[in-house]
Amino acid sequence: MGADQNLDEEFTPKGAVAFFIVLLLFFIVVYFSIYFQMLSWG
Amino acid sequence: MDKSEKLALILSLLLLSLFFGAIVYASMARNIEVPTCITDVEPFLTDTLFQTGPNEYELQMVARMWAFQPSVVRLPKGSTVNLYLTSQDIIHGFKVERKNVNLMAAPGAINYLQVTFDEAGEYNFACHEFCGAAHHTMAGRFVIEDEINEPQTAE
Repeated sequence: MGADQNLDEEFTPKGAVAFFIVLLLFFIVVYFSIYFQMLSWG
Repeated sequence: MDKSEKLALILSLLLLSLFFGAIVYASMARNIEVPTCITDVEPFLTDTLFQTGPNEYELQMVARMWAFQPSVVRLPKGSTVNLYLTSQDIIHGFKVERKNVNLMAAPGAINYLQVTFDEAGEYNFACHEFCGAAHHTMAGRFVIEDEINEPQTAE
């Protein structure tokens, strides 16, 4: 029981955080590829 | 709040700020305009093109089922066009390829946008709002030439 509680306290959702950061990077790439394309059109 | 949730929230807000800042930069520093609806002027019924300054033109364009008037506009390279667009009948769209021109042509209203053609070539435009049986034929083009004596329009 005590061991389970320790596990809960130390848990960090590393996978979810990594996925979220990749998701944000993907958004940045998509957004700015369209953004700079439109800027070049004047 | 959990540490990871806080991180996600902060990163999301930073990303939104970055995107918003990019739009403000484009608008202020790059002088890129957004379409404007003019409501205090009676919509025109015929198309007109005239020069308002050196390399600056005013184009009044009319959309109707299923054509733009004028459908061909010849201008010299470097022209800045103040484009006023209205519709005689129903709602149409107006999109110029390779330019940030994306307008609606609405009956009873005028939509305005300024566009500069820095490079010679042909810029096709088309209706991008489905408007009936011959919607796919509703198109035209800007022809930008290096040397041109007088700007012209054609039906």
